[in-house]
Amino acid sequence: MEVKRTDIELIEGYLSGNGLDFEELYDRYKKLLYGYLNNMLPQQQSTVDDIFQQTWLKVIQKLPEYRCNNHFSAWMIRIGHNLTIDHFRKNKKFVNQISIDNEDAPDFPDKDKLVWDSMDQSDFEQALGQVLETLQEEQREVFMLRHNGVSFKEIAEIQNCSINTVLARMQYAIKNLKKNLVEWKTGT
Amino acid sequence: MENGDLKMKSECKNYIEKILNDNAEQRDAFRAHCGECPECASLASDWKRMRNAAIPVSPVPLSLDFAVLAAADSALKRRMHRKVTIRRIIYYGAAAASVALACLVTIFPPDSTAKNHRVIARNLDWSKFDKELFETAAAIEISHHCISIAGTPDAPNQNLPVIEEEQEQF
Repeated sequence: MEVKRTDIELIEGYLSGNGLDFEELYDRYKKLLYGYLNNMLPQQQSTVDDIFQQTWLKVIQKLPEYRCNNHFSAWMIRIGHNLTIDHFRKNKKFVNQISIDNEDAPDFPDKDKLVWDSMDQSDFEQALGQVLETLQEEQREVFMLRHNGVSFKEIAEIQNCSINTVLARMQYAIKNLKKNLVEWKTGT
Repeated sequence: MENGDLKMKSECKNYIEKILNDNAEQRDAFRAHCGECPECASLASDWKRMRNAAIPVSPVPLSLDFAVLAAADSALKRRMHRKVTIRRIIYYGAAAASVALACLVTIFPPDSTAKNHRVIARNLDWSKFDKELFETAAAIEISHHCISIAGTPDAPNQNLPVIEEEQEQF
C-alpha cells in the first residue's frame, strides 16, 4: 500500500530538485484554492484565474521560506487571501471590517423550518453554491475555509482577527445561508 | 432565548467552537447541553448538513495547470542552476588557491634546518652565554665532588657515618 506523502515531504522533494513532487502538491490543493477564489470573487472568472496563477507563483517563490508551523493549505490560502484583498483595494471594492455586533440576526419562522427540512440533498447542494454568493465577503470566506477543513485558528490568522470574531462570522454565515436557502426554495 | 438570537448564554459560547470545529471531545456533555439549548442544537444540525454538502466547484482550466507547472519547472531549473554555480565557484576557488600556494612554495621555498640554526645563533645573547657556561661547569664539578664523597647508589661509600632516622612521636 502506497503511503501518502506529507506536504512537507513534497515541498522538500521539490526544493531538492524533483519537479513531480510539486505536481502532486499542486494537484492536492488546486481545487481548494480555485473554489475559494471563485467564492470570494463570484462572476469574475478572469480575475479568479489571474489571482489563482499569481497565488501559485508566489507559493513557488516563497516555498524555500515555508515553515511547517501552519498547514500548507492555510499558508497558501493566506497568500490567495492577501492577493484578493489587494485586488479589492485596487478596484476600491474592499469593504472594511463590518461590525458584526450591530448586524441583525436573521429570523427563522416555524413555516421556514418545514421548507428547510423538506429540501432534498441535490436541491440543497445546488442552492448552497448559489446562495453563498449572497453572503458578506468575510462570512463567505470563513464558511468556505471551514468547509474545506481549515481550522478556526488558521482562519483567524488569515483574516487577521480574533477566533471569537471568526466564530461569530461563522454563526452568521450558517444562519444567513439557512434563511437564503429557504428563500431560494420558496422562490421569494 | 429567542430563535435566531446570536447573543447566546455564556454557557453556549463554550460549545460553539466545539460544534463548528467538529470536536468530538466532551460528546456527552455537548449532547446534554443541546437537549436543553435549542439554539446550539439547531446550529449543530445546520452545520452538519452544510458540512456534508458538496459545494459545486468549477474545475481548474488546463491552461492554468500548464502555466503553474511550467512556472514551477522553470523556477526549479533556476534554483538548480544557482546551486551548481555556487558549487562550481567553491570548487574552482579551492583549485585556484591550491595552485597559487604551490607556486608560492616553489618560488619562495621554506627555510632549511641549517638556515634556521644560523638564525638562532644570530639571535643568541653571547654576553649571557659565557656566564651560563661557567655556572653550568661549576654545577657539574660540584656534583662530581659530591659523588666522590658519598659514592653512587650502586657503590656507596662505606666509611661514611650512619645517621639513624628519628621515630615519629605520636
